[in-house]
Amino acid sequence: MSEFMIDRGHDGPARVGTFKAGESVVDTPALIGPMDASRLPLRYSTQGRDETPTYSPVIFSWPFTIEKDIQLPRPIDMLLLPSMIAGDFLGSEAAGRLLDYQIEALERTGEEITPSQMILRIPSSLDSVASEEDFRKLSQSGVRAAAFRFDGSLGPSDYNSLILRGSTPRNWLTLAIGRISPWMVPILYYVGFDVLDVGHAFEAAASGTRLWRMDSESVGESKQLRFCSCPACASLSGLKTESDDQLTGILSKHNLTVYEMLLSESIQAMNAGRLRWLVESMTHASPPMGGLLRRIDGELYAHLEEFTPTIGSKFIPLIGPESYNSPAVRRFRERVTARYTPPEHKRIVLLLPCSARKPYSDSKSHKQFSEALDASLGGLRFSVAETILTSPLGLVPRELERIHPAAQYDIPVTGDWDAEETDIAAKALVAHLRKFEDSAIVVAHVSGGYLDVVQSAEKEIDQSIIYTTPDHPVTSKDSLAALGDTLHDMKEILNIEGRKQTELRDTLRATSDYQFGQGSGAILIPAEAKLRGKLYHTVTCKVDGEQVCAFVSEAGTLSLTLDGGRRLAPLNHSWIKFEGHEIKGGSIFAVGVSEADTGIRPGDEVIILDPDGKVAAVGRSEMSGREMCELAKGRAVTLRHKRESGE
Amino acid sequence: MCSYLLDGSHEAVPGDKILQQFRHAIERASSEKGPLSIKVYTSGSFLDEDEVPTDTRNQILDLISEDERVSEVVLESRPQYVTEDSMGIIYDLLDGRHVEIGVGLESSSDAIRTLCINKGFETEDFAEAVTTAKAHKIGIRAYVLLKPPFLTERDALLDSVRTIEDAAKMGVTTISVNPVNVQKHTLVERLWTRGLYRPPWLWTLVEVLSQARAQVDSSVNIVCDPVAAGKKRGVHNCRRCDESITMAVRNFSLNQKTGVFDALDCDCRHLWSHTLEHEDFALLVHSIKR
Repeated sequence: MSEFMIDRGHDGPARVGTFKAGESVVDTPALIGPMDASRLPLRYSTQGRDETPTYSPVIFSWPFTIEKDIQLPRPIDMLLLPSMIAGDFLGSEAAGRLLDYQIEALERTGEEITPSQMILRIPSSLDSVASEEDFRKLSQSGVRAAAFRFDGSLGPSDYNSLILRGSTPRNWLTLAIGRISPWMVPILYYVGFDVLDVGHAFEAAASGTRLWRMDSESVGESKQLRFCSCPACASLSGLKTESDDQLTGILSKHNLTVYEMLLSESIQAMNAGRLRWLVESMTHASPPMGGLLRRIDGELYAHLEEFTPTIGSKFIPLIGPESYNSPAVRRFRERVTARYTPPEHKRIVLLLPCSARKPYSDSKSHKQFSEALDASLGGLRFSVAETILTSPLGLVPRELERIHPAAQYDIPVTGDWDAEETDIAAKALVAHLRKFEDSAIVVAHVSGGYLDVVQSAEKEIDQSIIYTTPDHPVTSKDSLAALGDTLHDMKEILNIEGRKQTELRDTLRATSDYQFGQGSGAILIPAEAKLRGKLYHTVTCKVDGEQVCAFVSEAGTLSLTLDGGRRLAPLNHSWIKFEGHEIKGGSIFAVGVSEADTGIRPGDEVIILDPDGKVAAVGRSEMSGREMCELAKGRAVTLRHKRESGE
Repeated sequence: MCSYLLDGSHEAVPGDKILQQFRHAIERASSEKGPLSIKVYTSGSFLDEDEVPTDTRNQILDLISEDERVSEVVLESRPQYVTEDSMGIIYDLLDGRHVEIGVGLESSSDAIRTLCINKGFETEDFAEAVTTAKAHKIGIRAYVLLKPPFLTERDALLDSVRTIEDAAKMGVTTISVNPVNVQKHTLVERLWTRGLYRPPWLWTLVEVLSQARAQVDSSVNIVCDPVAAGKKRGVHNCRRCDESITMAVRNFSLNQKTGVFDALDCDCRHLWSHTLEHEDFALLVHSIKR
């Protein structure tokens, strides 16, 4: 019997966990290597062909040429089911048969080896849609692990293996085996692999090659060896005098170290919410690496996005085109488009450039814009829908400037926009302005690349657009004066009245819509709600004297009270059904979740319902909604408030 | 991997043409002195009357029997044509000559012979042929195919060793090991060009010959004359050591002494031994472009 448990921690599908087989416990992610790589936690071997070590678990491959008499030497070992080398050449139909063949083999082994000790080999030519049904059936029969093969070329076969990983049940242990270069480690970990094969460390060593983080070095050909401080390479000084056996030994130790360093770097990056950044940075190892990430961002978006937290990481560097469609970025754009609704009293849309400092309001330029608004409009400034244009988020309504990732992202500032960035922002702008009345006026206080965005969107914009100062820097004295004059004129033309301060309400409602869906803001923060506090700190919202939610500046999100949860519950959003009436302790574990909104992401504010559909608690989710249903273990929700017993 | 289908004639070749071809070959050897060995390699079954009409076959056997110089005869056939009848005739016509029928056993595993080779007979059929031939004092020369496609390097190594042992137990007189080479316009070529097939390593061949020689009775000769050895389409290592190892294999075939392999060594042995272990686990063809 073996068991794989996923611990908390998400940054994309990557996870840390523990794999238990018999009495052995292996922390994942883990590296697997040949029998003589004694420093690794997992080793590979072949049934009846190699010697068994005295300790540490072994994954035994089962050659298809051995038809019966398969036995696992020890309870801590695992069996890799039989398949055919190069079988993928025969196409997806044959791939299905190769899978069936394994299922037959699995049944043939009888009771001595349980399905939980078997690892399925997923043919890379398998059809990913058809396979989901197979996976589901195998899950029912007790299979909990699958191995995916990579040839290291990052071509169609490797790509398909990644896609197939996306449709694998979340509670399975997944292995990436084959020719895996060090620079593939972060991306494989990112898409959710738990065990990585480092056989290539030995293949490279046997070919006289030293592997590095982003490339490799042929030691035989190199006249000047690259400096390395690892203990193995310390003995490489007298290289020319080393025998071949010694050299291979030194190189394999060095190569293994490189894998260990990259895996450790990846785990740390995940814990810090920087794994995506690491994956993006590794795309520079080679053009195929860059191509691979762009393709999976498209094809595997749903898989990657589901596990990308909605809060967390303190800083999000978005450096190049590989960031434009990263899940956190694309999700933000899509949510703003789908969920943000401008309040009715917004009559002017003011387009502003972004600032390096976040939130934008804290920047010098935005303070100047704010002064211009105050000077020209005074209390009427809340009729202005401030909209910040930026890459690659597209645009950020002022109300959402403190939400993840708008408050954290950082981009290289050059003033130059590439065609894709311009296109992304123009599309977002067109969608945004469709939400306003045609009679609203768009005031574009932008220049340079921002101006290009507005101009390229212009023919699809129905409102009138006024450019304040297209040819000058937006923060020059004259430009700011032009902004003030334009706004002043608009006040007259639009005949704007009413001096109510709506900033707090607008922000909290927009935040609610972003978190809990369009229209939720008006329900959670009704007209009679009393709002107190500062946006840069905390704003509390009370209805009939009871607090329903609080806006926390640091996260840019609303945290709910039980009352708030009750108000939102009828919307069928962010709900979790809990099995039982009384919640003990400060968490809900996956085992206690019977059903959950599949839209829940790690980091989301969630509402916990008891079996009668009554709100039992509110809290912050630690997993995706589907995950908390599928996983048998692990913390699903960290509770914020729970119902007192008897309530 | 087999290109015989493509090599063959599209039309049926009449018996007299076959006879004519045989006479031509014998004439070319007219100046040779005995004892001679005649190998009639038809790239098919010499004993199949659809390929070689019975009359023609008997005429050829007659011609051989008339030639006093000939002491050894090797014919080729699939096992189903090794029958009481055909063996009886051969024994009658070639009495006194040492006769062997070369039969492509390829592998003693029915799974491998069927799935990887598509051969079309069972191990049992081969064993029967050996028994039938033996009853007529005719020997069987078993062809063993080293590394058909869809096998890992170690699958291939172990399968060939086992096949040789099995064939020897069945009573064959000679074993000829044939490493696969990549022929034009074959499935193997298509696999090979996509990096999904690598011809066997010479180290694998050496290992097969050494292990088999140690296991098999010394009365059974194990021979190997590898086609395209050291070439990228044939059995090969790393280039640097290909020539010396091929030479050792040829020497072994002549003297049956595994000592010829003792001094062989090369850097590439590390890569080969990695390949043996890792291919089994990863089921990834380890081929490096050269």
